[in-house]
Order: sequence, then C-alpha cells, then structure tokens
Amino acid sequence: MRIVVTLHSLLEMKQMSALGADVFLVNSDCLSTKTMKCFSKMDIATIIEEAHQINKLVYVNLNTIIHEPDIPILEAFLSFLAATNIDGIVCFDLSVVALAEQYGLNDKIIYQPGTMNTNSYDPWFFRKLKIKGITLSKDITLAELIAIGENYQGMEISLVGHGYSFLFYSKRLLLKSYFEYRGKPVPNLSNCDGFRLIENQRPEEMYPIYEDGFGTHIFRSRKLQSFNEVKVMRPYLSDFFVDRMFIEDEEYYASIGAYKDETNELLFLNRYGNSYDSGFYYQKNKERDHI
Amino acid sequence: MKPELLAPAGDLERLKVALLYGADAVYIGGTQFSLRFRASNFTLSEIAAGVKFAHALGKKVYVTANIVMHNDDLGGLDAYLSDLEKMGVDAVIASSPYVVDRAIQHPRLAIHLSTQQSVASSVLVNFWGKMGVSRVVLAREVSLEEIKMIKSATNVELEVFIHGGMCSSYSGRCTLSNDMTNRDANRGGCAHSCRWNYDLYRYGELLSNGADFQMASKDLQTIRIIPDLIVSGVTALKIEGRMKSLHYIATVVNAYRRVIDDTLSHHLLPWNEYENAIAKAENRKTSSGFLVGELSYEQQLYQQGIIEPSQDFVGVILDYDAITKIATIGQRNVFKDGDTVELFTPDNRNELLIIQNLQDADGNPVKIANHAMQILRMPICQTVKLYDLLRKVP
Repeated sequence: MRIVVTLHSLLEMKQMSALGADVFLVNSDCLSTKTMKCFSKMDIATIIEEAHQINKLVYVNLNTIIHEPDIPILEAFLSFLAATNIDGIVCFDLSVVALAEQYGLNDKIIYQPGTMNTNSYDPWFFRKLKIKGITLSKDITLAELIAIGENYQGMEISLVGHGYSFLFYSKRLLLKSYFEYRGKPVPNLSNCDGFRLIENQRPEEMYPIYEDGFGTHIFRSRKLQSFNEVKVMRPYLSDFFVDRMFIEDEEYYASIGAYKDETNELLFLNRYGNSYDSGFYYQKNKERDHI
Repeated sequence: MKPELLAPAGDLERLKVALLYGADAVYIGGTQFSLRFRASNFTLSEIAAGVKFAHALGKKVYVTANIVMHNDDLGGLDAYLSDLEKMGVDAVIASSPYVVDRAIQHPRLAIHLSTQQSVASSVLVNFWGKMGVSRVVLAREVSLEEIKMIKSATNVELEVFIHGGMCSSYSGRCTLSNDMTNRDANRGGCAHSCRWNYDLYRYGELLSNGADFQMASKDLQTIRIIPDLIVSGVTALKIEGRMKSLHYIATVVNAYRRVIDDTLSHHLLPWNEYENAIAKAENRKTSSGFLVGELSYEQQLYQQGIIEPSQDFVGVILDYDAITKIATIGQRNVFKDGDTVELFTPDNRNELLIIQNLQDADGNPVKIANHAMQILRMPICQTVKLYDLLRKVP
C-alpha cells in the first residue's frame, strides 16, 4: 500500500519521502479545484523527474467536473502528460477516462469521484476500461469497504482516508454570491482557508467552506483518520491518500509518519487526535426504506 | 424536431393527469432502487397500469432505478428489470454502472443515464453511449451554449431539465445529508441540508446576519428559453418534481405543452401568458438557472423562498353524468357556495363557474366544502371530464 501525499513545494519532497510518502499528488493549474497549491506543466515535469530520481511516484490531480469548454484544455493537458513519465492521473470526472485512451494514458487513470464507487460491482465495471484503479466512496462503511476489497482483485483500489472529506461541490460561487446579496465587497477568496459554516442545530460543528473558480466546496467539520482501519484494509489497498486541505504543515507531516510507524501514530493521536474522528466507517447511513 | 415533454408522477393519478395535460412521457419511481423515497413510489401492478394507460395514448413511461447502489442494494435487480421489461416500460433511468450493465440484458428496456452522473461534456455522453445508454440526462449545471456544443458532437439522445427544484451541488456528489442527518442523499434519503440556514464565519468572525447564509438555488423555470432548447435539438425536456401535487403537475405540464406547441406552430403568445399560467400553481421562487450562463446571487435563494400560488386548487372532477349534468368532485381545498372557480382542462377551456347547489355524497346540501378529500356533487351545465380541475379565482 502506497502512501499518497499532496505536494505543495519541491522543497518538501525529500522530507515527505523520509516520513514515508510513496507518491506525490500534485494539482494542475488548469483542471484542479479545492487546492491551496497548483503547479504549471513545467513544474509538474520537474517534479516527476525529481521524484523518480528518489524512486517515488507522481500522480496529478484533475478533480473538476469537465464541462464542454474544458475539453480542449483537458486534451492539451493529457497530451502534455503523455510526453511525461507521469505515474497516475487522479480524476473526478469520467470524461478524463473517456479521453485518456487516445493518449495512451488509460492505464494511468485512477477514478476518484468522491462518491459513486460504492459496491462490489464497480471495480469490475471499470476493469473493462483498463484503467489503473478506482478510489472507493468516502461515505461507505468499513464493512462495505472490506466486502468490496475481498470480492475483487485485479485492479488497484484506493481510499482517501485522512483529512477533511468534502461533502459538497457546487458550480455556484456561493461565497461571492452571498457577499453580493448582502451588498458587501467580496473579499479576496483566493486560497482563503478560513471560512466556516455553522448550522444552528449543530453549533459545535464548523464546516469548512472554500470557493475557487470552479465553484464551492463544503467539508466535514472534523478530520478523518484511519489508523486502525488501514490495518484492516491494507491487503486490499494499492494507494492510501492523505488529504492536505486546511491542515497545517507540521500536522500534515506528522500524519504521514503516523501511517508508517505505530509510535508516530500514538504521538500523532496524543497531539492532534481530538480534532479527528472515524468519518463514515461505522456510520451506516439510512437508506430510503428505513426512513 | 419536436422534443418530448417529460413529466414526473408520484402516483398513478398524477401519471394520468401529467399525460392528459400534455406530457409525452412520464417518469416514475418503483418501490425499489429509486431516489425520492417520499414520492409515493409505484408498486409493480401500478407501474403496469400506468404503462397501459400511457401506451393507449401513444405515450411512454420511464422508471427510475437511479440510486447509487451499495452491496445491500444489488439483490433483486435482475428480477425487477425483467418485470419492467415484461410490462412494457419504455426505459429505465440509471445512475449506477451495475444497473446499466444489468439493464443491457433486457433489450426492450432503453437505458437513460440519470443526472446523478453529472454529465457535462460530449466526451462523457459518448462514453455512456458506448456503454449501452441511449439517452443521457445532462447535468443541471450546463448552459444552453454547452448543450448546443454537446449536441453537435453526439448522436446519443440528450435530456435537459426545464423546470423544478435543483440540487445546489453537482448531483450524485453531495453527502451533506449523510453527514448531518445520517440520511443517504444518493439512496433516496436526502434531508435537503443545502436548503437550511447557516451562519458564515471567517477566521472566527461572524459575517452573516441571523443565519442568512444559504446555498440553495431558486427553482428552475425556462419558459422563455424553450424555443432555443428546441432549436438545440435535445430529445427531451424534463420537469422535476415527483413529489409535487396533482395541480402543480397539471399546470406546469400544460404551460410547457403550450409553449412547445406554440413555438413549433409559430404562434407564440406573450411570455407572461405562459408564466402567469405557471404562477397559478408555483409556490417557489424561480430562475433560469445555469441555462443562460454564469450565475449571480439573483439565482440563489436567500430569505423566505415560499410564495403563494395565484390560484387555489380546490377540486378535481371524478365523474360526470352527461344526462343529469351532475359532476362528482373530489375536494382538495376549501371552497364554498357562491365562489367563482375556474374550470382548468387539458384542452385549456378555462371557463368560469359559480359554485352552487353543492351536495355531499348522500345528497345533503353543503355550504362550505371544508373536509379534506370529501366527495361532493354539483350540477355543471358545461360538459366536464375526469381529471378536469377546479381552482378558485381570487
């Protein structure tokens, strides 16, 4: 199981590698959203080269919904990636899967829609497409994750198991619209990680909300950690993503080490554990027949 | 090309009303595999009855099987699809690859891809076409210009939403409800957490005023865009709202039926003729959504989102004796002797009647019809038919 970490700077690469990172996830400056740091094509080419020199992998994150005007941008980006030695393309929209074959990149694709990959059949469906792998849905239980893992071998399965899970992705610019509605000047929203929502029935929960040019994202109020669950899921997982959004560098680095070493895990939980929970692992959502 | 007008139906009565008032097809949910759990979902025998009714009119029925399936949901799908195919259902609306792949085994069932997949590019439309899908319901976030671009690059049928409620999030990707209420948004349990009020903070500073931050949008209303949508070549125009009332369905379907037909016959009326018709039943603020391009705060729903329909729906005709000229009426809202009501019919007769000589089912005089769903009788000179509606004139 590879630990996938989000890279914010070339300068972090060796430190993260020493902590146990196996794969660096980089955001593009064209089709990546909910990110605090993006890289140009030239930067990405350099990162790939330097990561490979230390025997690490690089995935690029294309996590927007692809609209028709995005297609030429996506084609240009895939054309660029085809000329690199990129190790993985993490995508949120199946348009990327549909186009990747033309560029000989389908075996690099990891389909990571956040939701959707929720049952044991899904890996079989995507295996037909000869892609690298799929990331299982963030909102299913550990028992469901294990059942999918046990049922399927033959394509890579991954999990986003650490950090603020996103709950909501809208094309609407909700923060900008709100300030306009109130007749207030719109503050600089770029890379602003400080906005939170509180619903009056849940005053103890503060939901991060983030807006960029692709829309608005809302996240769980508490961070997810998966130290125990990873021990169970490890046989089935090829990649384990440690998400970085809204997390301070020091805490983030500590989390990487914590997934590699139980002593580090204890230290991490002692210091940061109060702001984490187990997400949906043990929370079986009620479906329609039970409401 | 004349697009199909596709309407929602929460039960058999609304299915019939939607088709009688102008829909070319209806979409309904069964008791399994369907979102909108409160939408009075159809039993198999009700689906069969709906199909029989629709096909007799030369119209179609689509059945939703659009939940995002977990392992617990997989069982029974093949038998369910077989039943749908045998009873002549025209298409199944799917979002899960499992449903798509299983439905392919039932060649008389067309497969429509649900908006839950948030398809917004021609590349993805064609991808699903290769997977066996004959029609894709586009994401509600696409603009009219994008629809035209997509249409020019695909032969797969396209369906777009033209009226009704809209998710604020990209469909299928939202788990607000799952997290906040433990109700699975993608398996029919959505608690509509996006329609709640929130306080907004930035680095601990309260910015909102009395929890007035909202993420919900106004409902979609596209009367003025219908001619452009027809020109775009989309196959189907879809009205949202399997949970909506009989009156709402009849009114909205009929208004869009008229604007489609009037566009194609080059006899369009002033826009407010159609918009005022919709206002007789609409109780939510509306906008044209993403169809006209980028949104502003004006498309968002802040403060109170409920408005009063301009006319109250008071009754539905259940029977009419042409010899005695006595109509049997199902009460839906309070009305009384002396009230003026509009007779709203599928062929838009829109005649005015005075309520008089109202009786209950036993022939006792009734001055005020204030018992919910009461069966009433009243002489009406004009010939009326089953599912003609009565609504109070303000």
